[in-house]
Amino acid sequence: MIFDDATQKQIDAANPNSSTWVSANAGSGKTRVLTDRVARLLFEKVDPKNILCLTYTKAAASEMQNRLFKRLGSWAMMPDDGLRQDLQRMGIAGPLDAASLSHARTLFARAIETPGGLRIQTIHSFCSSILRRFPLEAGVSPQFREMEDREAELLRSEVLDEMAEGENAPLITEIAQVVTDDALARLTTDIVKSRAMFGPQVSTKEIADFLGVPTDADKSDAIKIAFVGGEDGLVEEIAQICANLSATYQKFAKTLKSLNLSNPSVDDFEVVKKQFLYGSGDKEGRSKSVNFPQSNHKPAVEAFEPIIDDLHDWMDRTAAAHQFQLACDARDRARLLVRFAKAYLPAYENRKLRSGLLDFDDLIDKARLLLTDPLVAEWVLFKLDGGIDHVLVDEAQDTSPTQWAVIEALTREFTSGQGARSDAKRTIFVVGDKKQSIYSFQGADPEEFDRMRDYFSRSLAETDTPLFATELQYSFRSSAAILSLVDQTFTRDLAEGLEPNVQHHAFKSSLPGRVDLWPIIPDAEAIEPRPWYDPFDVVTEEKADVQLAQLIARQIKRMIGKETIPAESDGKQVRRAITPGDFLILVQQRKTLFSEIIRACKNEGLAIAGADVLKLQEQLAVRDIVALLRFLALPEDDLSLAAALRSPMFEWSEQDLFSVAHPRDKGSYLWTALRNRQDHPKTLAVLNDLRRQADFLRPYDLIQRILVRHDMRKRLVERLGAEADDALDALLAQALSYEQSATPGLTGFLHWIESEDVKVKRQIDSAGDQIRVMTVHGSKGLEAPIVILPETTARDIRINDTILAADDVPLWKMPSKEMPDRQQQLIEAKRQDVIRERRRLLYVAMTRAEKWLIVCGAGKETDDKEAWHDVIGQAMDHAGAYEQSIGDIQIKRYQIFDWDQGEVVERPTPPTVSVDAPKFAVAPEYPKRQQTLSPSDLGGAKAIGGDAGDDQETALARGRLIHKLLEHLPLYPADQWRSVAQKIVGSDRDAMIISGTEDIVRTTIALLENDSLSRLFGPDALAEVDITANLSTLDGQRIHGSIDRLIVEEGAIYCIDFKTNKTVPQSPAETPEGLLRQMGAYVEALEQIYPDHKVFPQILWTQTGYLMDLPRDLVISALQNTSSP
Amino acid sequence: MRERGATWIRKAQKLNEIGETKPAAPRPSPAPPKDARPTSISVTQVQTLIRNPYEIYARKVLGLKALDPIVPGADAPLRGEIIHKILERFIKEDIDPNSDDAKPRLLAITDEELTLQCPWPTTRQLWRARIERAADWFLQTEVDRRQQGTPVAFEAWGELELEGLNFTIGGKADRIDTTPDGQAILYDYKSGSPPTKKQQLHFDKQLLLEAAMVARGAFKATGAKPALSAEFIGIGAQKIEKAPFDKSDPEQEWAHFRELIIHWQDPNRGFSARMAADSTQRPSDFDHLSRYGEWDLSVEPTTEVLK
Repeated sequence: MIFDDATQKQIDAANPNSSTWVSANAGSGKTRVLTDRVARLLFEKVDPKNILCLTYTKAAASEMQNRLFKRLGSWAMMPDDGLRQDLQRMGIAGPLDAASLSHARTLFARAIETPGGLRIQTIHSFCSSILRRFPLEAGVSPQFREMEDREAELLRSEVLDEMAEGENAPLITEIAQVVTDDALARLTTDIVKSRAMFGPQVSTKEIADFLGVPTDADKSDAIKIAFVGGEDGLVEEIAQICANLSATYQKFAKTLKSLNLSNPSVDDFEVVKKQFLYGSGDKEGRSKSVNFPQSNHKPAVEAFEPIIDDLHDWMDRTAAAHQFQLACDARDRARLLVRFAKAYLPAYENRKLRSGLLDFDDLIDKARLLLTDPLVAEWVLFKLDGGIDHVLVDEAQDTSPTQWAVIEALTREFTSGQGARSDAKRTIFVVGDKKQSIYSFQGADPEEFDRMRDYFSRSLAETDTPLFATELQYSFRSSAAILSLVDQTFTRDLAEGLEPNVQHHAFKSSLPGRVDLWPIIPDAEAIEPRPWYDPFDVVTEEKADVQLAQLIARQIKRMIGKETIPAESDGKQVRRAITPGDFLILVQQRKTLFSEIIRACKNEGLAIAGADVLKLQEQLAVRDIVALLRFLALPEDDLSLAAALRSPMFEWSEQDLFSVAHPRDKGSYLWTALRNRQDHPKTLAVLNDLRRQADFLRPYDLIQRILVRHDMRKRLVERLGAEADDALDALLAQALSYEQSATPGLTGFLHWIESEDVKVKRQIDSAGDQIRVMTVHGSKGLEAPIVILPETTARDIRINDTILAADDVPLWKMPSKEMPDRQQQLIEAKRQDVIRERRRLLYVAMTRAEKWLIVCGAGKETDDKEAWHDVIGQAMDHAGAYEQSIGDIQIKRYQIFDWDQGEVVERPTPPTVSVDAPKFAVAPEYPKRQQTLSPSDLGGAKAIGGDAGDDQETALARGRLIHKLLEHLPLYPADQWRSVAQKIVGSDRDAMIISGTEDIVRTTIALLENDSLSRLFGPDALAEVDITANLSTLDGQRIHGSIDRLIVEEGAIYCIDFKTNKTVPQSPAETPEGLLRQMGAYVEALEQIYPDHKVFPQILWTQTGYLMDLPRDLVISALQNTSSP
Repeated sequence: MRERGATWIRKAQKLNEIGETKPAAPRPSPAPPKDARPTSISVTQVQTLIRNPYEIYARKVLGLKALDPIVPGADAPLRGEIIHKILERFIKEDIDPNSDDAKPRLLAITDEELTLQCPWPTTRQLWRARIERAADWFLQTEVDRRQQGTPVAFEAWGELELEGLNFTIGGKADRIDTTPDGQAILYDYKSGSPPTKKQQLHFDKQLLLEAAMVARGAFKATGAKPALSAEFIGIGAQKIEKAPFDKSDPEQEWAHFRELIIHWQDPNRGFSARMAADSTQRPSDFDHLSRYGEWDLSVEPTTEVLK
């Protein structure tokens, strides 16, 4: 098989027989090379467990694994010819006999069945795995756990508090003199991050040396630098010269004359400083000798001529003395820093160790120490050696020096040619692109890439597999238009920080491409604030960011409707319509512009994927749920309840809220007010249900109940968009993880979720045909036909570190006014690093584009020559760009080949299959079973208003007790009534809350002894008769009750109910409505059962022994008044 | 086989499918009827009324307020409270700021108050150092203040009705000094940086209005006295910022304030959320209630006249 140049390069790089170092341009297919190489290693019968493949992110690791499995998996079922071709295409030479083909088919199963899986992982998870394997040797707890950010922050402040109360308290007092509240937290963060600098090696001498002052020098020694003797003579001469000059100079001379030059003091020095050094501006603290006397003061210049050199010399000495003072201060500050750090770090380490915690850096650090510690390294490597023969490193440009140290230690034996199995072949494969190193904030250093290449090339030189270094220059992704502009952009000065010679070749050499440069939208004039006493709604549409976002959205809409994009179809050049999925918008930071673009696109009705990273607490859907949870945890939390009500969950309007919240009394709660109203039954139903559950359900279950049972997820997502969906999932995940670390209570959960700063990365699916907006950092490895760069104007550089490292000597950054030159140089070097990294960032951003790159911007136009808009604009002018108008704007365009050639084809869209939701999941709510009513519960009063006597609970208890006595006593002979009654009272729980049971027993027995009532308690009377019937008066609803006494006679039925009310009505008409309804229900039921009998309802008022006859019409009409529940 | 699986995946997706997306909530501007509108405000709330009237609506009309956090932290409000207390005590003790005892005494009070109110040991040290740093500056400037007048009132509450409007303004002056010729000087302590003159002209009306109030006898402790000046004493920034009487005197401010309140008594005037916010505005407790985030500052508020 013969390959083209680009493919041949890839095949060479993937050759598993030699150690290889690949510098790969963007889009040159390095992931493919990496996958091919692993596949070929496996084909060469390398045991999967002997391969270690290190990627930069977990996402990259799983992507890589998926690709590999897909390839190996396809081999398993492929016919001979296809498989043979596939293997050859990968560069496997030689005859492929049946045996090797069947071997290839087994690779998938072998890879998948490797114990512990194929080792494609991040360096962090690799380090974590060796620490777990050798905890004793590494000095970590076998159950160590990685700290969360928030946990680490708490731990750091706890250590501070521990110090402040212990023997180190004076140190805290001292440090408090020079920092403010937040600065101390930042300082400890930085100390922990750069802890390596505070080892035993750091000495005060090195600090002083670096700053160029003696270790023991005092600030006041500056006087000796500024005044070396002879100044008094000079001042005399100055005075003579100035006498003939303007008042300013006379004053100058007078001030100098006032000095005590024979024995100058600190005050004198301060005076000289004021005169000789610039007091403000860029040159603050610098000698005025560069322009004194001012060149336009001609007479003064002439007059000073004879002594000017001496005077300038003195001025320069003063500046040097000033620097000396600043350096002394910086030295003392650095010493304080070192003393503090040396006390702080052991306390911090100790606390971590005690709780079995490791922070992020620990994983790498401890693994590195383990692998390089002379006492155990040999042993560990011996044990590991059975494991690793082939190391592959992806994204090598972002590997930090400490991470390289781990890799170096792992491969030490490859290079020495010795090891547990010295016969095994071993290789190293590194792929990276220095131009794409953009993770310095995570410790990456692009220079390290070259350094390590040299290291491996040196150390492998003597082995039988010397390092093969190669470059992949062909881009399989972008059009030549984009690539040539990239080459054009990063030339001369701008190439610094990337590579000396940035050069790309387009694999698709005839693919049309274009780069557009839109004019910058300038910032609007600042609006004059309106008079404060005239309220006026300010709308900030004028901001440049907002305008740009709207312009982008409008243009995207126009492009989707009107423009086409080149495509290939069966090797033929064609065109197709543009869809939202073609767009990738890359910003530098997730700030205003980022959210404005998302908003503007949504407003234009464009399909957009939303933010790629969500801050959980900022998500409205999460805040809505949290507000509801806060209310459930504490119903008195009015504001949270109000916020929940106004959310999409309950959709209250301002009017709804006002009507409930405003009229309530001062000091009464919103929940009380809401509960007492009838006008929001749905809201109340949901809240009541949740309140019933809140004390029992774990937070996760409670949130799920809100989202699923009450269907709130749908309501939230409908209004807040798809991001809400992801945010809610993340919230649920948090709830689950909270359960693992603490008692799953609601209050604790709320406190935790509100203090935790959780960021959620969203997997934005490129297949979703949506516009994607993300940061350049997040776009690593992605590509899109059309890329828009909206954030291209000048950007500030801020160096926020509190600790500056000078050749591993730690310095505390001084405030800008007190910063000595040596520190300023360090800062400047850091600024240069940032500038270089931003160039690389631009490189990454530009190379994401396949065919169309659009550069636009908003804000101030400055003369910053690093601003992306300018940089690209210049390159375009060079390349031959022309003016063009698109829609409503004039732009600059650079284009190659005919964009509009070929016919327009439809993009094959996957057929949409419509399905119904599974029935079992969306079944309508099961119809509620009709409830059986209790006749005594049909509504209406049950006692006469103002009824004397007990509270409700006691009255009920009393009633139950009397009923019980009346039920049982008649079964016994009269002489036992008293004793039986006593027994019943003695064992009855109701009796415990009633006072005067004796009274009850007496009245009850009196009733039994009452002759006029004897029929009720005689043998013909039925006691406690259960009755059930559907009543037509109650729309056929069923009742079920128990009639106290029923006497059935020929043609007549007496239905008697005992009532224990203390106040007895005088006549049937005065009987409370509720009791009448009850009797009515019995009557109607009995009439159904005994159609031939006449039913007589009666009430026995136990209080007085009065048996009241109730007219049938009265009770039936009462029943008719029952409103159905 | 895959196709059969895909059907079920599609069915599952169908379950999560959302219907029509609904429009985002508008930027609220509720306009309650006249009798529901606030009838009083504090001087420090005037700034809120100017910049974010919705907060005033939520507080005063709906009667809502945010609860304190479950676990209190060492935050700026607490720091302010402690610093106020320290300075109040120190001034009340009437120690000559020029004397040698002054600084040790100030720091002794500082230690006492911090021990009492600030249980976090590191924070205690940091706040003590903050006061220690400002102590000399404070005492020096205190000498000038004592030359001008005598402290007569501390944490003094004053209130005043706007005639004919049934509206009261109230406020607490940290300290009022009186001069020998019968004028008043108002002081307000700030634990961080004091508001600039520009901020005072545009929205931070605390001192300007207090000055007008003292002239009208709103503060019982002093009686009616014209205000000579009013100053913010920024302890953290070691900076004194005077109320800009020269740009707008208290009388004019008072007239303007009256105008402001008349505007707010118009029943069609909506309490718009973040009405005149700029980028410097801090988050408000009521942002969530107002659904900020569904709308942003480029959206026109929607007035809802309430019944």
